[in-house]
Amino acid sequence: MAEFQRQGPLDGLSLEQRAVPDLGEAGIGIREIRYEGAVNLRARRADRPARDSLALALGMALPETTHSARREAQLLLGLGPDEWLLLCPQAEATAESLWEQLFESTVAVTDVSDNYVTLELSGPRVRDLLAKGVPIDLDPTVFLPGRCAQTLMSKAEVLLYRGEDEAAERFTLHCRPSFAQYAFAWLEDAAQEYGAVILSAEVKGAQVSSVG
Amino acid sequence: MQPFRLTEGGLIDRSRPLHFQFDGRRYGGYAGDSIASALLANGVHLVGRSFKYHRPRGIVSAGVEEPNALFQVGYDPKTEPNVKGTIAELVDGMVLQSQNAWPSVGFDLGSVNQCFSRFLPSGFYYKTFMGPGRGTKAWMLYERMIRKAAGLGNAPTRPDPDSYDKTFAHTDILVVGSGPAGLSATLAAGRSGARVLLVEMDNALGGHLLSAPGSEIDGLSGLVWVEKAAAELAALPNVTVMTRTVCFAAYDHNFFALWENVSDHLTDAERAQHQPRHRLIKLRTGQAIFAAGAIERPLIFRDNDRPGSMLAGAAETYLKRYAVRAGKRAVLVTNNDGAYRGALALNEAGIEIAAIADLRETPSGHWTAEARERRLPILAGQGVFATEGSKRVEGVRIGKIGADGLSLAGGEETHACDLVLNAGGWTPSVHLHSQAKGKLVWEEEGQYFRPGVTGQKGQGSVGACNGTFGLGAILAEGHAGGAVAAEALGRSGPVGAAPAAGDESFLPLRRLWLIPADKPLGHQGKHFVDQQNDVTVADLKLALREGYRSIEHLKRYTTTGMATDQGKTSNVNALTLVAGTLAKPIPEVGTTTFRPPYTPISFGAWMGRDVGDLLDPLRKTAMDPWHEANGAEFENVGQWRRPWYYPQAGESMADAVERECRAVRGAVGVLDASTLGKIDIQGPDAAEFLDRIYTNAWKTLAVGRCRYGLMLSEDGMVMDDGVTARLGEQHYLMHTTSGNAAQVLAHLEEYLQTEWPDLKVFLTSVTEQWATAQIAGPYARDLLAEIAPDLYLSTEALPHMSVTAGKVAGRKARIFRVSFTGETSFEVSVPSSYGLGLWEALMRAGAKYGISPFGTEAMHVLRAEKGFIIVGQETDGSVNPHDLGMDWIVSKTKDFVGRRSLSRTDMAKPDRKQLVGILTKDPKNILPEGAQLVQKDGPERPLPMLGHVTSSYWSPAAERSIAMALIKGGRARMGERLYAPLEGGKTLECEVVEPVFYDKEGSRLRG
Repeated sequence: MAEFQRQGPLDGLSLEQRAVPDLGEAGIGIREIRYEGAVNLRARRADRPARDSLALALGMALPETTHSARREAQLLLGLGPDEWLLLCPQAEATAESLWEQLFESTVAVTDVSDNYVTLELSGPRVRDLLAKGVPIDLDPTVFLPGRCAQTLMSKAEVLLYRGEDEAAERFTLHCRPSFAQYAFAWLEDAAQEYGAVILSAEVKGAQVSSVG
Repeated sequence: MQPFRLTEGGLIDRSRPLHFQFDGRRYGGYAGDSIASALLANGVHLVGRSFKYHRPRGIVSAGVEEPNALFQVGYDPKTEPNVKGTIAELVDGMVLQSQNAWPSVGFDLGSVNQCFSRFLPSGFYYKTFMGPGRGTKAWMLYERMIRKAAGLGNAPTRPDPDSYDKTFAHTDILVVGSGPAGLSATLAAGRSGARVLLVEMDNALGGHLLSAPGSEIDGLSGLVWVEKAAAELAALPNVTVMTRTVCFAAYDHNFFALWENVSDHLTDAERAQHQPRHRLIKLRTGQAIFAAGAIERPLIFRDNDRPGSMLAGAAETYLKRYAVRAGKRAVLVTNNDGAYRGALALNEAGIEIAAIADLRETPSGHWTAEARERRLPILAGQGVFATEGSKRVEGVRIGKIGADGLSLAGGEETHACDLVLNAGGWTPSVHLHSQAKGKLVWEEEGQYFRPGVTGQKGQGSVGACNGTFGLGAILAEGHAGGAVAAEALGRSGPVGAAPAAGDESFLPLRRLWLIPADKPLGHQGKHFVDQQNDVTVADLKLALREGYRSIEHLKRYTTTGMATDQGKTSNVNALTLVAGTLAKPIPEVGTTTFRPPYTPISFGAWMGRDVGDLLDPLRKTAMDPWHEANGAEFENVGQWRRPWYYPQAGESMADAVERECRAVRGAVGVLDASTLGKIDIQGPDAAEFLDRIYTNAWKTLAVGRCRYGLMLSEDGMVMDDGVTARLGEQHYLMHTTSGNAAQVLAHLEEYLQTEWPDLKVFLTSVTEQWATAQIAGPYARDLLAEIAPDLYLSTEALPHMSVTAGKVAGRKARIFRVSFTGETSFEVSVPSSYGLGLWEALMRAGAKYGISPFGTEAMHVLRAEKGFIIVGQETDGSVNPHDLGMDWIVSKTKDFVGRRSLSRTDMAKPDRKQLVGILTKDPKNILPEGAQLVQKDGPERPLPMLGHVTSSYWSPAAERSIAMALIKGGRARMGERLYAPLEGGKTLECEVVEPVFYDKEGSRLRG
């Protein structure tokens, strides 16, 4: 019985061969985050019991719109008034466990681990780079550390998250896999002006399927 | 050697000499020069020929209002036409060509148009080429010749090698313009702590102070004050200052468009690598302060367009900013006091002032008094009524103006000069205020429109663009504007004191702009209102005589105020003339609409990096690398690229598609179906929701089963279709067509959020979570069993239209037993990162069954053989379920979106276009898709058209051509003969049949 090697849409670009150890003098660093798990969670705004149960099952308070919460390796992003995205290792198991715990509640739990490709953007010019395609205000005093937003980057829908480290100016950008090549090409082109480097990918999940 | 350059002074850098060419001649200039200032330093006034009459034209202004000094810059493909020499910075090595002149600007054949000018009156396009009997054909022929003769430069013929950029920006307070008003406003706003963006279209801060450096502010000379202000702003981290950036458009809700000239002022060698040429900035701000200044208004006299005739303020700018004398002997003609300042400055720099013809009977004012003290020759109540010379002013005719301002009162004299300084007052630049739908107020004393009530919240105008002309008042108003804007945003930091200065404005002024001549209007010369479009006073008067009244109509009929300068020096004069002729007050005549852009910007900036591969995302599936490596030809479906067919060596498209079809019918084929839209639907009301969205019933669907659904828009027409599976008690997965996924999700969300907020349903797009391989054909089950040995795949365990979950190669997978091809078929979905692995495993294991990948073309053929529709091919937004013969899927017992529209009697009319099958008489003939079908063949035209072919293929299974068509009353025509007249005169005879061509019983897909 075959074992499947996981593949991402950026694999054909040989990014690892181009990777450098650190940012150096570059204005922008681009790093792929591979195979981080993701679970989409829904609970209606007015359904207090469902929201409480969800918070209890997650072990953290549900963040308000466009904010985030963290518990150990789990990061919970508020996508809207009734929608969250849990980024975590072992998403399949986490989703199943949540599903079981929340069986009685009116919630939706959906494993969407493969629905995203994730890029981490860093460097002193990262906000200038993003501003070229992202229409929302990314000023550090407005888009505070830990904030997230579902927005556009040029013609790709993206989920943008600003890391909690205030000084580091680090953003993660999640986009749909079919848009990943476009988004990456767009970022590289837009970053040319500032000098961009590829940083070594961070692998957060299994690279092959378990043999069944 | 620059004969008209002063040895010292000005803001040029004499340590950096530059070289350039104009019409093949080499000249020198300095860093800090504009194209125009460098030409003037070399004594060049004649820079082009006019649009219509090819009259010699010179540099009129020193700014964005310039009508004449337009150049073709650089070589193809980097060449650019219509570059304004008055604002474009001189770059070393620049190559300039004059426009509108052939063979040369000095000797131009087109100037014979002047002799025929009585045949080129206002509206001559319409009169000559577009009247009755002349038709559009004549226009199309002549238009090309006219455009060529009219010139306006040449577009590059090859793709632009430069790169352009676009960006978004946000600020609390936008300040447009860095003259004394803008700087004062920025200082106050910046000190408050608010985020402030100051944009200046020039390359230096200071605005009018750059041309009048002698002004004193807070006891400092103007430019020293500017330097001090700039230093303070640079030290404020909350303030951003951008030069070479023009705010060219004001839209609603304080959204502005800015254009940054990033590198036009640099040589190729000076440009940093990857530096864009221009940048478009889309800015949102809380407050906006317009400090755009004012533009000098010219007086109109006979042959006022002769090179050497220049706005007085421009001559002052060339002198003070660029250290250039615009001539040797000047005559000033003015109707106001302000222009005397320029004459005084020029006189001090050694330019002889031959005369000051002041239209005012009793000249007075601050600068007039100083000129008197300096004994400049003031001719009170007199005006320049004509210029003399040919390609350069050689003299002017001056005469006494009658008290009514309509005639000369004698005393005509000729004064030799090479420079005419023209000064008719100032016009506030209200463009942004007006673009934002602000009202205008007519100011009687100064004779200009100034901003009234703003059209948007949080906007204000300060300084000269607000009709405030004394320097002290300008500074105070700017400061107050900055403070008010900051306060409106809740910023209460100390804003400091307003800078102080003297308060002389350009007033008083005599209300006269058209200087009467010794001959009637139009005799012995022309009085130009709009130099860029060659519109004269006579043209305007003719249009009024012909009955034009609205200023908007006059603009379009005469073309006054059009083209690259948008009438910045002509509009107020034109409407003053119109008001005078019609004896109406000026506010009643009004202005034409102010529209973006304030000044021309490049197309490149609009596109930014949205060109080439980045024009639009090309979405690829997880299996795409395999398709590409295996020679697939692709077709684009929406943004997706999908394998179209997989040609093998030597195969044509028809060969490949036939082979792929045969593989599916006879062995096994595999299709990348990942692009199908997938919407995960959860919640206790999910079945009710589906019931309302789809035309058929959903509550009866058992867990583990699938059902085909048809979705209508509110007009009752087919919107989308697809299979939805019930995965659990409260859990469904909906499939949509590939191209419609986003629209369907938006449609569903809109209904959930606005119409049925009570329904407990959650929608999550999982299109890209899953990669899907469709395995179809007699060996589909055997093949899948090898990949997923744990699954029960028998027809009993997994019948047609059912779903199961299980492990495929150790990963959670979903298997749908559905068929779009008419064969036994399974759609296997795995998380998308495993999609390529799944595909490769299928191809490996399928080799022994004779597997073939098949593309969208074979899929289309296979489904057409079965008579399955494709939304968007058999439907076009005007096709309802009855038309498709799909009444069986429309519930009569429940409500659903589109039902009310569908129940209109018109929707069931028997003569609506209905879906039928079409067979050509000769089975080898394949109808082109889109072919029209008619009742009978014959020579008469037009033939009434019954409908058109929607799908047409060679069917390997039927071993003949097959087609589907939408035909009026089609279902009642079974067996009827119809004809398809084709391009080229051939007509094909066809028969109307049922739209199913293969396995009508459906035993194969259930097997």
